[in-house]
Amino acid sequence: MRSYLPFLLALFVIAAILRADFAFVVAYVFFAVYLLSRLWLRRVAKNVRVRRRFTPRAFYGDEVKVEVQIENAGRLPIPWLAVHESLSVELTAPPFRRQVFSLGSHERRHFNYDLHCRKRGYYPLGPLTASTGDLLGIEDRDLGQFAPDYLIVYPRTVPLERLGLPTRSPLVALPARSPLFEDPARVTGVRDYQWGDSQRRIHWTATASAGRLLVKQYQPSIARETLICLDLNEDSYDLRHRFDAAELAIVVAASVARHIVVRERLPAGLATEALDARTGAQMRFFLPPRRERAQLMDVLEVLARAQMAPATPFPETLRRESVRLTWGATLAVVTGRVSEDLFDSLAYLRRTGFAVALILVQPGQLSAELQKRAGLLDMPIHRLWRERDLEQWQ
Amino acid sequence: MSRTAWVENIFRPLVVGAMVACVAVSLADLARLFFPPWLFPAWKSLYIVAVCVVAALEAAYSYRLVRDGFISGNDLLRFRAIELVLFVVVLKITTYLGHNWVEITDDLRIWTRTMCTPLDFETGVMFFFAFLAWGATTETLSDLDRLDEPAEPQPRTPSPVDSLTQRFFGGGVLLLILAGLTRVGITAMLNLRRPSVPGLVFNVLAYFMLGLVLLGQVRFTRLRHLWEAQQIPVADNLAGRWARYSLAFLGLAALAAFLLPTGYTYNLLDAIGAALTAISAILTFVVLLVLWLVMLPFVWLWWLLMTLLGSRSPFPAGRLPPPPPILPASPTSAPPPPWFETLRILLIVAIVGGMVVYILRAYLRDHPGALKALNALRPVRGLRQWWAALRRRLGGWAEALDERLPREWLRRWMRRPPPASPFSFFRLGAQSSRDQILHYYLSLLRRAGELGFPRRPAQTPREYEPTLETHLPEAQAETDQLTQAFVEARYSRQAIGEDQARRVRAYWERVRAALQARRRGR
Repeated sequence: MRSYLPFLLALFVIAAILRADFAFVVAYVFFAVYLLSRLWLRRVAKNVRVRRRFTPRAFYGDEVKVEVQIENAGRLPIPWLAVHESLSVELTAPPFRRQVFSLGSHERRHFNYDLHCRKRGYYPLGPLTASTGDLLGIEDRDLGQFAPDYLIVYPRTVPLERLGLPTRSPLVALPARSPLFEDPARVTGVRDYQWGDSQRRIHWTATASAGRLLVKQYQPSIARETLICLDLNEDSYDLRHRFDAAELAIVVAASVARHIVVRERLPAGLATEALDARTGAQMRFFLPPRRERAQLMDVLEVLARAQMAPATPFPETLRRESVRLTWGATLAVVTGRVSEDLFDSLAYLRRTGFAVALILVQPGQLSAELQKRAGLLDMPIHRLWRERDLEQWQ
Repeated sequence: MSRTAWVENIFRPLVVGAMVACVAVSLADLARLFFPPWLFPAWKSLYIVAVCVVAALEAAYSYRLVRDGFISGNDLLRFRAIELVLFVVVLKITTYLGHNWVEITDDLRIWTRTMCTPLDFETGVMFFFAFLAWGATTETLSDLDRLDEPAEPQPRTPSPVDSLTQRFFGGGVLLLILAGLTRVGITAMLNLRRPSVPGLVFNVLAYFMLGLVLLGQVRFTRLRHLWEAQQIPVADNLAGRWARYSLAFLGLAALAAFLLPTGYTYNLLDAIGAALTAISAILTFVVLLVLWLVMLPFVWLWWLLMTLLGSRSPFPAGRLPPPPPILPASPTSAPPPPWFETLRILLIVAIVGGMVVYILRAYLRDHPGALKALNALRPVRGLRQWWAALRRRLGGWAEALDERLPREWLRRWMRRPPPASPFSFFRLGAQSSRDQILHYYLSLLRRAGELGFPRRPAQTPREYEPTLETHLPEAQAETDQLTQAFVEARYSRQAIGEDQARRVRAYWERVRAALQARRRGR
């Protein structure tokens, strides 16, 4: 109300000229209205609290119910409050929720909405912007933005059979020629007990059946941990299919991790360099291989937040992260293109004692030369490009 | 009847009619002042009020008829002509109220001789007032109807809210002047030293309170239309709560206004008047003195010339023209008030002065252009420079005083253990360095929360730090240092020195400045 203050001054002048009580009372009324309106709004602005209740992590395809609670923490009522909750267009349409209501003293109000998790990612719920004003139009006040909360939608995982990947070796736990280490989970046979054998190796069932002490013979194995190396460098994917290929690569990485941890019950880790949606900065992610279910959730969370970026060249990342692995570990390399540098790095890793499996996310067939070179290195190589299948999985 | 229909068809016309009645009461009083009973014995003030109210209600009714019936062009002219004739007839009949039948028949007989007789002076004045009431009501209802129009980006005409507000304020000013003229009198109006007029005028207060209620309703209607246009769901109970809050708010404001004593305001006005009188007297004296000094050589030369020419001097020989008269001492009408009365006067002067300063400050804050223009004025610029110089000077004195103070004693005194009283003040300087750092970080959290990016309960300081850095990019380094210092102070056992606390304070001040800049920018 632009003319309020000039009118108020005019009232005081008229009252001073008239020297009449009633004129002063009118001027005081208008001044009190003005002053109380401002003080009221100032108090109201400090007492609005916003809280969201929802499950902060969801799987692909889930529906997340969000309850937004807006509270007036003060004694003074809020005459009207217009709130606007901004949401991501990938989660809901329209990508906002708006309401207008009033809040009494210490009153709370809720409004709900559902989110459809149709794409993996790290999504802000909010910020919620609020505005209010007085009852007479003297002042409107923007209460600013209330901090958003965040929802993580994990990438979808699919059975490896559907991706066309092998479900056992050579992707995980490769057998070794030299019996430096043995895998107690893989019994290859029994033999007679010899002095010095641990009692734990005694096969009691076979011993009872044969009538003499027999001990288990294990398959010799090297490290049973797998590091999934995901290439999210945008130069590693063909420009025409970059987005789809990168998303498919993430699905592959998530599926492999799930398979190793859930099905094989073996340790799996993740190494990638990508743009982190949470911080908005480019980050190096390295999750050392572990076998717990929590590890799988950590891997999925990183994969939910990761976005393609002009990162460090992937071969360099591979060499850098392999230093942290124990000797003999398996590297499952997921990328969109095999360059000469990458192949050299893979050969180097293979020679230094790591098992390497290459998963290529690209259209077309593998070249015979590439298959030959991979065969020479004893490196399994798989190609994936199944957009139609992905659509069917939805 | 729906709520909207009730508001449009009953509430608004009644409120507007009541406001018209309030103005009509003062109009009638003023008319009575100009047409005294001894000169116009048949004049009846109540009729003016009644006619204005009827005109307002008729305007509301005819407005709805025209609007709903889509009457326009020649049909509208015919409708208005019939309306006018009917209204004149009603007015004339109104003037007959209180007359006996013989007087009425005599008057009707005169009509046959001259056609102008029905429009006598009394009827003319009443018709004029009724026309004003009719026009104001029609315009007001038209503006109220336009509230659902979308706001134009570059409006050619004032928005309906502005138009309504200006009409309300204009009518209020007019009403105050009318009521003041009626009670004070035209001749006494310019005498600012006359005694004050006590008592309240009901119709004036009623007009303003009804106007404020209507403004509240207009505000709600306007906002509701805006929200509906943007398809924003509005809570069902908002209208009811709006009405309750409006009435409670206006009641509170009116109560606060009635509690303020108006009597002391006159003391303030008298003081201002006395100050202005004294200033004008001093200025007059200075001007006369300067004139006297300027004229003195000429007068002496004139006297010399006259003496040489042998003519008679206008002044007696050897005497200079008299100096300007000495100002009469201001009459002291009353002995100085006792200390209690003086204190009360000072208090009310402070309150009213504060009100005026607050209004001016708020006005300048809402109008940055006016503030800029004011700052560009040379006297204001000079005043600001003088104020800055004074602050620098005072700051220098404070520093010099600080250097001369017995610092050890002062430090020991400041570090003394806090008093046991629960009413003691919190002094940051008396806290340990560790507590000071904790205080700085907690203060940062509080301020950030007020600005809309609070720390969530589950967040650690390190997890919260990216949020702070996102919102305060200009103070990223300081935020980092402050967070690090807080973590050390809170979770480590290493000693925290005063130097560290001082450094953290510097970081905190920079972060606080960034927060304040952000608050101002909102």
